[in-house]
Amino acid sequence: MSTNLSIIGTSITKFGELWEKSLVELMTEAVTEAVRDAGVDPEDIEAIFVANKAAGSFENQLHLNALASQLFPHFPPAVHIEAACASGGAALLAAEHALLAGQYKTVLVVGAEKMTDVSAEETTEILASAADATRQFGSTFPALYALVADMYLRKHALTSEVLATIAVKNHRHALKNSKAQFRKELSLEQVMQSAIIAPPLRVFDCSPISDGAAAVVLTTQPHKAKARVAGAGQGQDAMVLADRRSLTTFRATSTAAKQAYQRAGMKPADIQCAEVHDCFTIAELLAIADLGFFPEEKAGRATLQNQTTLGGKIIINPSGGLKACGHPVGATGVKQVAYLAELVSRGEADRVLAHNVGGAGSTAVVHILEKAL
Amino acid sequence: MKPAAYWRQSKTWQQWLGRTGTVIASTSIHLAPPQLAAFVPYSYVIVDFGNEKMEFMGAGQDELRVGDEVVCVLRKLCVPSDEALIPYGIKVVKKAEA
Repeated sequence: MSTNLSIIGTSITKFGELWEKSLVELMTEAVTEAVRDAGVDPEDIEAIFVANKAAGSFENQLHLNALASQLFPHFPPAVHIEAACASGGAALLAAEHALLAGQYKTVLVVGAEKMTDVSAEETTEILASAADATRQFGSTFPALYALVADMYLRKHALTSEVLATIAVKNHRHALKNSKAQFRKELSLEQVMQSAIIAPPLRVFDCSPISDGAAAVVLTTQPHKAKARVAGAGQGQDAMVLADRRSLTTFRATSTAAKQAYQRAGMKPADIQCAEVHDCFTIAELLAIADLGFFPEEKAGRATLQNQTTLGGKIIINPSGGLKACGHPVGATGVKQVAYLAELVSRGEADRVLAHNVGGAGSTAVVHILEKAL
Repeated sequence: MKPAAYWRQSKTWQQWLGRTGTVIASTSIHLAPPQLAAFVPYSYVIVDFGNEKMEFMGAGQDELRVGDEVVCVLRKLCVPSDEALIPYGIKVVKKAEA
């Protein structure tokens, strides 16, 4: 991107079943820490973009823009962005557009979700609101991804071992992430013998139900930066799977990636590590092909041959991903970018990519970050 | 399901009732929202009707597999609650059982 968009402050709360913390407390913690980390005066924040999927259903709490704004003494203008599980990515894009348009110089993006106050069945119902309520009646989120997995495994003559390999790898990665919901190794056998949710997906193929928040401060002004936003993009596709051209690839992801690579002047081989949207293990398998890291027909083998972890071709989901770090849906897209910016600022990578998906692949947002100039 | 939403979805029944197609992707749902919990496990499939594809719940607990010939039928959509309405809608069953 021609204008210099910098990430100058980041924060991620602990992810998990945080019964002692409310949605507002999670947002407050993330916002306060990101502003402190940026080293700016709170009154320098000119606008706030809030990402959240379903506080109206989970907590009967909406008007989140006002909730966020009142955390600041000067009540900056704020908006709430919802794009299902891609709310975080979409809020970041909206913030970037406002900065690139010159409307603001420094803004805050906060993503938060409080999911564990209701039962798993109620959560399943609330998350199903990301599907087409009339044309996909009776579907659940895991079932839609299970249909994709069913087609993918049959097309490429793979077994569910490849899915379990992703779960094991992401749990191993999360061991090093103090914010992760699960810091516990899993064996292939544990994953492959866990309870069936929607075959071929088992409970350990699914990301957990999580509470959490993340925030980033973005600026176009000269300031010590943690990373630079090199490019971003957004793609869309039909909500109803039956309406798609292909179910073994997500067009929304490839569209978003193409825009992001073009704007960054990069190609997939330039990316050293990526946080991809593994809400279910099958989603990572599609993502690593749709983002251009491996050809579709080789993504399974690359996963089985440890090409997506330390020592491989590219590190996928160093945070543990949604699978092990947790998936407070509105926070996820912001957390991916915050986590990667921290990685870049520590010098652990120079060029990284975040991939955030809404619904069963009908919305996708891709961000590419690089080392600050 | 609210009465008005039920009435709206009922207008699509005639588009589907009696149509036959082939299952091209299949799963079964073992964890469902509360109003569907009594049907668990139920099939959820993508059906190819030749000129178009659509997603449907399978009726009953019969497991539908890829390649099965199915037909669209009218069945209860939710377990009746204390709402007076008992919602019906389109599901699919194996053709031989219709």
